[in-house]
This record gives sequence, C-alpha cells and structure tokens, in this order.
Amino acid sequence: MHIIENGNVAAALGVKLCHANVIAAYPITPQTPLTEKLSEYVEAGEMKAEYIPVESEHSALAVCIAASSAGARSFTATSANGLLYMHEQVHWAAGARLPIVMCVVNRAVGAPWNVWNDQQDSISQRDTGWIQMYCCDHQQIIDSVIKAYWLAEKVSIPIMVCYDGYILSHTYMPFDVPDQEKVDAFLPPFRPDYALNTEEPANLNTVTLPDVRMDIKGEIAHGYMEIRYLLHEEMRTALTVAAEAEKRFADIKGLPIYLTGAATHMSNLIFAMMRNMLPLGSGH
Amino acid sequence: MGTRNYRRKTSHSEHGPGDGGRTGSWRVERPVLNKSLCIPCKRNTEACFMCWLFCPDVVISRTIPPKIDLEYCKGCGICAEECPTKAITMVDEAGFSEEDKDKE
Repeated sequence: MHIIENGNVAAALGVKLCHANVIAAYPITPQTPLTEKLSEYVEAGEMKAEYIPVESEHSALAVCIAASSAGARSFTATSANGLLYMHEQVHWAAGARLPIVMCVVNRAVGAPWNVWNDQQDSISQRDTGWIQMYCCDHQQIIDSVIKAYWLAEKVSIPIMVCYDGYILSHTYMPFDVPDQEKVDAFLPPFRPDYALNTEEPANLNTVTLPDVRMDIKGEIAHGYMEIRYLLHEEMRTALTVAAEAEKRFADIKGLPIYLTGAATHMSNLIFAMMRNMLPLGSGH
Repeated sequence: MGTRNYRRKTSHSEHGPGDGGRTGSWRVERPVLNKSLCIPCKRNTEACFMCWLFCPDVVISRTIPPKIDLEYCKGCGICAEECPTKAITMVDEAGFSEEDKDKE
C-alpha cells in the first residue's frame, strides 16, 4: 500500500512490521517523532511490544542489550549527542553479538549547537563493530529496517539504520508499505542460539582473558582475541549475506532487484569496522 | 584461529567449577575452620551452614564438617565474616608451606 508520510513514520512502520518485542528509547530531536509513533502503536495495541521509557540513551541501549540477550527482538533510536551518550553500550552490543537494530536520525554534533543534519554522529561510531546502513529516501528507510533485522539476526551483528535528520525524518514522501504477510514470510521469528533462561543459566561476557580457556565441558573456548577476530571475520562475511538479504527482499516484493533501490543501497552500506580495510591474515 | 568452531561466538560461561580458571591462586588469606567452635561439628547435626549459604563462589560444602575447596576459594573472607561463632579465621597465605598449598 502506498502512503504519504514522513521518514520517522516510515521507520516506525518498519519496526511495527518486524514485530519488535522490546522498544526502549529516549527522545532527542530529530528522532523524537519516531519513538512517539512507536509508543502510540504500543498504547493502541497495534504492536505487542514492551515500550520501556528510560532516563537516558545509555539506559535505552542497555535495556535493548538485556532484552536481546533474553531472546527479544529489540529496537532503539537516537540522534547526535544521544548516540554519543550511549557510546559505551554501542561497543557492548557489538562485542556481545546482539542483533539489535537502532535508527540513527543523523544530526550535527555541536559545537556550534545545532539540531540539523550532519552525519558525523554515526560516522564517529564506525569502529564500534556495528553495521551501518544509510538511507536516501523514505522507501529505503522502511525497507532497510526490515532488511536490517534479517541481516542482523543472520550474522549476529547489530545494525544502525541511518537517515538524515529533517531532510528525511521530517519531510513527506510517498512510499510503499509492504504487506504484513510478506514481511512475515521474509523475516522469521528471532531465535538466537542462546537466550538467557533459568533452565540453562549462563554468565555472558564476563571478564575474559586474552588467552583461550577450557570451559566446564572441557572444550577450548575463545579468549578475548578470538572473540574480536570472529567478529571481524563475520563482519566481512556480512557483505555477502547483505546481498542475499537484498535478493530475498526483492523476491517477496515481487520486484526485479534494480527496482528495489538495492543497487544504491548496497553502495550506501558501510561496514563499520576500520580493520575491515586491512587484508585478512591467514589465521590468528 | 583454533577456536573457530567453538559452539559460542562470545564469552559464555556456565555454572560449574573452573569456568573462570583455578581461582584459588588469587587468594591472599586462607579461611581456616576451627571445628571446636563450628555448630554442625560440635552438635554433629545438620545446622547453621551460614558459610555454605553465603559463599559467593559455592566452594563450601553443606557437610559435617563443612569442606572448603581451596582450588577455587578466592579468600574473600565472607564465610569468616558471617560465621556466628567465629569458627572461621582468615590466615595469611604466606604462612603456609608449598605442601600445605591445597590442604585444608
């Protein structure tokens, strides 16, 4: 169905179509209307999600990290200073390999104080281990949110879906909202390898030494370097998986791939690890 | 990378002895039990066990006498603090010889 709405609503509709289970966010211009919209969906019962108001962006992502560890599909959104305030947790989400999707409504970081568009906020997070997708219109915003969940859950890497504050977030444009059945066919329910539960308790991401260790089953478990190297390797693999996401998404929309914005989209896909630019060694 | 096929992608530990390594080597002071003051030992009854209840590393057994697994005891001293009869004292590790290292 084609509608005319603003970019923040496009993002909110994408999150709704993906059946996010937990939404935690703190309002910041120009992201505010996105989270307001999601709170309206939850309040109206259109979304069966837990909307958790928090006292800061740091807490917003901390809530998503906990929820995702327990197997919930989690969403947050922020801009500029809010993103920088959650920076510590941004690293954590990637290292813990939690497929959280976060919309970053790009806004300048002062000085000078400014609420308008600049992409330095998300660019400054490039080396945190998240995948970043940049959208150039409202169609890409809604499509990217849906594709982001599929890709994030496939490769266990969190994704920022970035779009320009005001230029996209507050302008109105016609775009297609995919049918719920099509999105459900594209995106299966989130089933992580392990989700926190009382039957099978575990201690996640505690102090990890540089060296490998023997776990209680006598298997050799990763040390810190192995965990980081694995993230690096799988970040590279994610590029291929992203192409697969584009193809599958084109299939469910019944469009040839060149009509889905995939080509421009792929070129806008930035894999946010500086070490990716280095050639991959023969082994660690 | 030798651990590439390990079943987890991240740092993931399960409950059980030794998933954090042999932490007994961290100990600076060793808990020493005086059986003549210990309630279950004195009465030969399953009673008290405050040391077992409070030990954060689960290295004290619920037995008569309570046994302390020195291979994993970090020497935090919570058992000595909680013992209602002061039957556990924390003693400087430097005073124990090499042969004593893992003996109670």
